[in-house]
Amino acid sequence: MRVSGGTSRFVSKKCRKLRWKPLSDSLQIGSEMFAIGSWDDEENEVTLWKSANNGDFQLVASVEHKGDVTGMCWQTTDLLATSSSAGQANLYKLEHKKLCRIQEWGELHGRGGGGATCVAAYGETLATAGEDGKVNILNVRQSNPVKVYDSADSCSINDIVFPRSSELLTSNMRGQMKLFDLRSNKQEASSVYMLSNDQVAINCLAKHPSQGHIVITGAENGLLAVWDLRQGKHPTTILSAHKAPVSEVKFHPDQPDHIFTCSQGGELWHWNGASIRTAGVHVSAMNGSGSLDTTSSPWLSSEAVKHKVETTSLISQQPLPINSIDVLGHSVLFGGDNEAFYILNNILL
Amino acid sequence: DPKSEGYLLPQLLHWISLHFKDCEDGARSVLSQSSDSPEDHVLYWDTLLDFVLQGRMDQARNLLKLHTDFNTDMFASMDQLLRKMPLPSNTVSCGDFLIKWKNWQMEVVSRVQAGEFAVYPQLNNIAEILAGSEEALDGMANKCKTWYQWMVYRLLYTNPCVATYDLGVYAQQAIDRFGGLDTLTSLDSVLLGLTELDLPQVVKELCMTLDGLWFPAHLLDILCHANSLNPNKNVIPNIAGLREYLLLEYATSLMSHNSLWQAGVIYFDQCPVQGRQRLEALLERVALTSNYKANKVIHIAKERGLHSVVASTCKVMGMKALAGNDTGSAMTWALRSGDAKFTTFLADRLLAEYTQSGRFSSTDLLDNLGASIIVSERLTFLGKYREFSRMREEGDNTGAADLLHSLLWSRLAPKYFWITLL
Repeated sequence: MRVSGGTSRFVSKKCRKLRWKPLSDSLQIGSEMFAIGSWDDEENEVTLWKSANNGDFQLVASVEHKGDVTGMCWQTTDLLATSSSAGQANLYKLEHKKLCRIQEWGELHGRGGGGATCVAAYGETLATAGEDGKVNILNVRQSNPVKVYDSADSCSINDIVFPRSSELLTSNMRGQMKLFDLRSNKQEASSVYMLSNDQVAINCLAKHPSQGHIVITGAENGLLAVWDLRQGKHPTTILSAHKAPVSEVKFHPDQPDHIFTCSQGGELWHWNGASIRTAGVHVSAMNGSGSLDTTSSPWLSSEAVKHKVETTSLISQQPLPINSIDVLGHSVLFGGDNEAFYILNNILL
Repeated sequence: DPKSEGYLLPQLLHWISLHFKDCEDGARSVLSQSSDSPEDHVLYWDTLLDFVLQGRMDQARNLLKLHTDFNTDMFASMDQLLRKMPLPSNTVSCGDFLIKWKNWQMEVVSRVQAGEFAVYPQLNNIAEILAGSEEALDGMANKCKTWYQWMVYRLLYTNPCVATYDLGVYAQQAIDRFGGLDTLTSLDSVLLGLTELDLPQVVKELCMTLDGLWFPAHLLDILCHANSLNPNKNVIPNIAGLREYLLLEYATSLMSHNSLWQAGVIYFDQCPVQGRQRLEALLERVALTSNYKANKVIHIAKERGLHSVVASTCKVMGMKALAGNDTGSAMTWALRSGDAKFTTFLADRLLAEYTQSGRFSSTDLLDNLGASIIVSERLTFLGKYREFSRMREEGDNTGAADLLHSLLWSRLAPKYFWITLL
């Protein structure tokens, strides 16, 4: 595998989710940390790694995890939330170089072998969704769910994200996305979006860092779709991306013109949307007025995206799937079923 | 390594020196004891002897220099002999080397016979060894822990140009000296097999003694690749078959592991003859603990064109969903598998739910069936009926009436539903 300016390490457990720890201040550049959640082993664990001086990474802490880690996100710079295939959600705190579980919400998702499939965080609120089609809204200060959508979906939910503090978006194995208004008391979704007429599962969701109505999804057939949640029930653009199911899509947190995707076929791609702008194509939001809207994201311009977006494959194809990817600054972190994590530095943006 | 060209002996010596490091410890111990007469150290002569036997002349000479009587003639003579001993190298051909070596050994013999080392029996012993005297070498056997150690030492001073095919003979002699075939341990058997270039024998021993097949499988794979690079030197017949057999066995054992099954898939990909069938059979047995895992299995099967595995996995997941009363998920799996019967069965269930409760449970499924509505007639009916009831709810009575009319005409409805339909 060609790694230009990066490190890799075997961790002897299949990686399901890898997440950079948010930097609490800019002084921390150079001592980045990240967490890995494992799956498919008899005993799974959540491990925390820190970069050492010589560019290598060393293990800081590790803690047992009941069931597969199916979703993981950092709530704050010290709190890590996970969802488990055993049907529960956990909250871990990092103190004194140890990860301690400070909160556990058990039995959130019972039915279905996969338990809880994903977790998302916004402020103090956590949301989990599962194979049973339920959605739970949790608060870090309370041990019981704040709100439960018992039949949010009639089939398994794959991913979940907060487009806004008052909205929740889920995607299911049938290719539908549902938007829930958390302020209302209704148990049904306020909007439903369809990927296509075929029942293709949407595996992952990514929300634009600053413009919450823009969402990109990765599907089981390798397609990427760009959505404007305010407009219509169908995607703005569909890109044929990987040949294998897309495992994860991520916007670069500081430069959202760049996205990164990884697939079950062992591929890792960098999509450079900035080239759409520089190519001088008119970027207009699809609001029918046809006016030039310079604040809009280039991802919404369907024709431009199809022809102008530069795609680079960051690594040579791996034999085993890459399950998760995260990006911070100029470093891309990824890992998968070959039981190792990899970090690529100096990614050109 | 029976596959190498050039001299066998240096490699054997290197191997021995890696495994029998007592002389290094001894040397360290002698050196660390700073005294005027290091030769009085218990280990001095033994260590010196070991270095000589292993052909490590520089270290032997260094140790020799420490002797207080080094300045005497006999020591100088010994030192000279040690220094002059020709060692096999790749730059000198075997014939030339043999000539030099024989000359050197004759020199040694003549000095021994002249009685140069008579005063110091230990020196004499060393000289005898250098001369290749069978007696002296035989005496060394007691020092050696294993037969192969002694075999290599003997070869160094009697036949340094030994060829790979002769190794077996020397091995047999060494084993006889050390107690015969009955006393062989399993490691010994493996080494014996190697010396006789009997690869199936080696592999058999390895498989019997080692816990898993990891070592023999990978070893065979490497040998096979090396073999394919040198088609002229096809020393071992049927190696490809043996390799595939071992890889298949190893991969099969991996498949039963809850996490390593994915690695097993890759191994099966490397087996051209039987890999695919075995994979097909074993992939179905992977425990489908979650949707995520099932999707991975399906992807692996799809990539390799194993469509029956795809269909059966979808069905299993559908049945699981059904067992958990999740008809929505079950239907999605059923549609994915393309199985008409299962779909019909589930459609019936949904219709039954409707007749009992008066409303549909998985409306978002039924409203968006798309192209998969034609998988089963029952499903088509169900979809259309759902459309009909929706139209009625929305007040579109003419449209609803038309649809109802076409439904009745098309006779899609199952018998038990006719009453409700009317």
